[in-house]
Amino acid sequence: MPNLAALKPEMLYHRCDPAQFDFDNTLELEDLVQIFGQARAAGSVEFATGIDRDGYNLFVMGSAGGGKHTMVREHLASKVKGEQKPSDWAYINNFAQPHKPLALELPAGRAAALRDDMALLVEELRGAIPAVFESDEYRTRAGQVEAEFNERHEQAFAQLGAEAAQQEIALLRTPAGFSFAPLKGGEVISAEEYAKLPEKDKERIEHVINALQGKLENVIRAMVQWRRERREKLKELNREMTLLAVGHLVAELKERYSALPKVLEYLDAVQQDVIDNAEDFRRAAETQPGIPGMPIAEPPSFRRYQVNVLVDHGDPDGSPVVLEDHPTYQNLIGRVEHIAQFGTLVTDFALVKPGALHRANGGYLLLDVHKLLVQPFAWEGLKRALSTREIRIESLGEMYSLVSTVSLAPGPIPLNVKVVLFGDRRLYYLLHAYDPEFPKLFKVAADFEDEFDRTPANNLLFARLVATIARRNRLLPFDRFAVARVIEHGARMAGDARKPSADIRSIANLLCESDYWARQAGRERAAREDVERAIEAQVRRADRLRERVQERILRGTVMIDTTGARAGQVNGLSVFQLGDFAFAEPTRITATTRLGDGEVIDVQREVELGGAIHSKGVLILSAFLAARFSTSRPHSLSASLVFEQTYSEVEGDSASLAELCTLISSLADTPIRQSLAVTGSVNQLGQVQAIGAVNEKIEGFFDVCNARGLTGEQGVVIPATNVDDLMLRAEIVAAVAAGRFHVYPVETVDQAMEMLTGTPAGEPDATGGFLRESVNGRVAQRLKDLSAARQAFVAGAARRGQARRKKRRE
Amino acid sequence: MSEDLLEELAIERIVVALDTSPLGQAAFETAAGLAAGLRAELAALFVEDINLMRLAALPFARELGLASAAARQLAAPDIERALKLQAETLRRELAAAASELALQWSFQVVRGRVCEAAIECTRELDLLVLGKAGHGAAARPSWLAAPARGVRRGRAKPFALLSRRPVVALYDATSGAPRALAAAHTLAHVAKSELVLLIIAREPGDFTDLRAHAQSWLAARGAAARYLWLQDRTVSTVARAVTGLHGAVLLWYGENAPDDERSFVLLLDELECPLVRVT
Repeated sequence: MPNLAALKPEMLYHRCDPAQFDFDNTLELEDLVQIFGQARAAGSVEFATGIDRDGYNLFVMGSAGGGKHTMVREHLASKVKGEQKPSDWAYINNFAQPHKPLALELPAGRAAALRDDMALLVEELRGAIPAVFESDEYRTRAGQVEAEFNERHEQAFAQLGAEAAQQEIALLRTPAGFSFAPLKGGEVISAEEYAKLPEKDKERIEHVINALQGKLENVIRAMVQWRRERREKLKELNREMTLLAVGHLVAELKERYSALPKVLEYLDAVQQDVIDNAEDFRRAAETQPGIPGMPIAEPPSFRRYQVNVLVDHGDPDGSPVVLEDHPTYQNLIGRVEHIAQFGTLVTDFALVKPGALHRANGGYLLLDVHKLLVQPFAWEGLKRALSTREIRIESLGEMYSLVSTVSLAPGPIPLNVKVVLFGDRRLYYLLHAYDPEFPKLFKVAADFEDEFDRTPANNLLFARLVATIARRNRLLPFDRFAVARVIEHGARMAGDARKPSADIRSIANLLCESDYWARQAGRERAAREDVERAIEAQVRRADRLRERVQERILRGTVMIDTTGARAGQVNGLSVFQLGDFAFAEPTRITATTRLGDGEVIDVQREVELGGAIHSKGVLILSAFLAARFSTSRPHSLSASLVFEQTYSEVEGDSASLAELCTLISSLADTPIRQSLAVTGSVNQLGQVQAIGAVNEKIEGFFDVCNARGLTGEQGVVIPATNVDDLMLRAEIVAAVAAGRFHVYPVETVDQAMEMLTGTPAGEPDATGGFLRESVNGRVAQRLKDLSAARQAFVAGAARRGQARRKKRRE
Repeated sequence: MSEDLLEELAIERIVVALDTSPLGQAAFETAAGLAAGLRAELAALFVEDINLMRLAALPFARELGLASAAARQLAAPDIERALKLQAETLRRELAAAASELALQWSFQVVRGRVCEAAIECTRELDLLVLGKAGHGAAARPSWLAAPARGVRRGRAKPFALLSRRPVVALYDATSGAPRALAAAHTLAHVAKSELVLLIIAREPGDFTDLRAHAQSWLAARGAAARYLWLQDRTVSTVARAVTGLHGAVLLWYGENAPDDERSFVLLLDELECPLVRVT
């Protein structure tokens, strides 16, 4: 065995000492006000929300579950608490151009009041206006106007009738007008009698009738003018009477809103419109209910006096921090709805609906960038609003000529909002690279850490986080041992013993599940065992595939040796990532070597089952071999490397150390101990580099060995730089303590080869040569032999070629 | 209405002449209200005026359009067609309105002088309702009524014109008074309008007695009325009182009740509302 020491048990699991906590359980701890370990992100959030300049919107990035939303929401909630509430906004009818509703800004809480006041005004007018028109005063005055008209009318006809009667002519009403007829004895003369009249009389009658008809024509024409005059007089009377009913009611409202010139302007317009359309109120008083089953809404004419409140900050929940969870274009920008009336879609200003931008105007809008980007037109709509600093509601259907209905062009509303986008780093950098507007509109990024430093201070803050989550979720309190175990699990989640994960969502899930097991056990506080059980249960729920793979290994279907030794064969370790669960299993890697022209064939790559990083690893190891052993002669080696019994893509370079070792083993014809598994990547200088999921890899090999029975010889070779990442399961730590399993940290390929073969790797001498019996010496000799064989082969081939050419010449 | 009252009145038909004028609508409402309240038949009469037929036969007959003031040649077939069309339209409208109010009805077309025809068609147990043509005194009154459009279409309140203004009736010590009071009460009850009684009395004491009598009769039926004192029942006095009250309809009976064309012309010229002649 080489001189390399296996890791001691305490190196395999970096415990969190519960003794460092001076509390017994989390009930004694105060809530955590702010997420810890995110000073950089918190600074960015504070800066972005504090600066009042264009484009300083915020992109909060980091892994899911890191508490981004919580931190930003809590920061904003405390920030807006002391700030003045933003204005209310409402849409009101534009009496001059009804298709262009007017946006009305009011102090916070006044929009709803104005809406209610207007509703009350209309209600009062519905009673007051008909009452005015029912009054004796109105009736009398209207009657006077009517009487005046009738007098003129009747007088004119009476005069004409009398004039006609004097000449024995009657004025008759016909179905469509009037006519004159000669009388005889008070009756209209018959045609026969008329025919008997002397021509002179006939001429006289016709002459008289012609003259009378001329006068009648004048009377009828004059009547048109009289009617017009009557209409005007009645109209003026109606206006005067309506003003009596409306004036004092509107005046009261104007008094109430005297500080708001725009409202006063609006009330003037309302008053004028009511006066112009008083007849609507009179008709409404007579309107009966409609057809059963077809309720008729408020008469359309009165809708125009409504106030459509878009945003009301008067309510206690009228906070200007808005989280839009479904950021469609309409949900962001607002929409104009339509209602069906007798088969036609109609709309008006009262059907303008606010979007999240309206609600957040003057405050903050929180959006998930992924959700935003997958909604058609939403991203463009948001950028347009932020660029122009106004919210302009436009129908998508109309914009793209998809529908043709009567619609509105509501007046734009000035926008002053701070948008906070949440997303992962990939989306941030993609937007930054491909959307030229993005850097102009989102000038601040808050980059959340995925882990936090495992310091005593942070451990205590983490304990307070546990206390906070437990309290908010009404969980049992956690004792300090349980808290320590949660911190340890955080480190395991991060794959870094020094930096536990900041994935608060997963931590919260673990706490909830621990609470469940504690309650199942009838405990009043969650203990370490409950956390352990929760972790085990999580693994158990997710590890069906791991069991199946291990079962195949144990049955020999997948060939993995855990005892003996063999040249050109090593146990590598492959990681499988299934959702948020990862596990590793040993994979046999084999190498064959032969005379060739320096090419190392990566079979995985040849069949396109090797990823780019894996291929890179293979190229690096072949470069290492060539550089170390063939500096002065042709590299006359051909080698093949295979991940045996793998049927899907192999990616990553964490097997490059194993591949290099098996290649060297093949070249040196030196057997590798199959009781060991290897993980690590190598560089061209033969140094071993850190890899990911080291815990899962060690556990994967341990489980196979353990199932077959630990021999005390088995273990895993890992990069020395991964030692600080170790957070192994308790049973492995125990096996190591009992000397039944080992974890060997290595820094170089040579150390790894010595460990795997039990043979010294061999140091180069001053000439670059190696001792013949060392692994490297054997490799060098083999390569030298291959090179010689190649040269001999080439020389022989050259001779045979010359001979053939000579023979042909002869 | 109580059965007793119906028996007391014993009215079989409400006779009304039809037209398309606005005041005709009030006349129709009055007739329909009475028919509904008194469970009597609504007998509509469309009179083709003989004078119009004669006029159309004259060689120079011309009509001056009321709206256009344009002169048109007038021929007998034109007049006949126009009257026939008008009669058919009114018949259809009457049928629809009567169906809505569940009234028994009849429609008759007669040719002659309007007043005479209407009076001729009125039997002893009938009430005659007459309205003035919409063009006022442009010509002589036509005494025609139009089926109420609101009732027809089923949207506006039935008796919309009547319900806004009071039903006015004469009341005195003559024998016809109770019948007129019963008819007026019926109409006001059906149309949900105010009842005003014009009590004809020479002396204040007589007025008080008559008012008490009417009051007690109405009180027995859970009704009330407003009472005004008139010292005489000349056409001009009554017409002035009804106009001042903005009466929706006047019920007249007994002395000075119009029974010929001239009387109708005089009274309807003064009134601004339809007239019910109670026999």
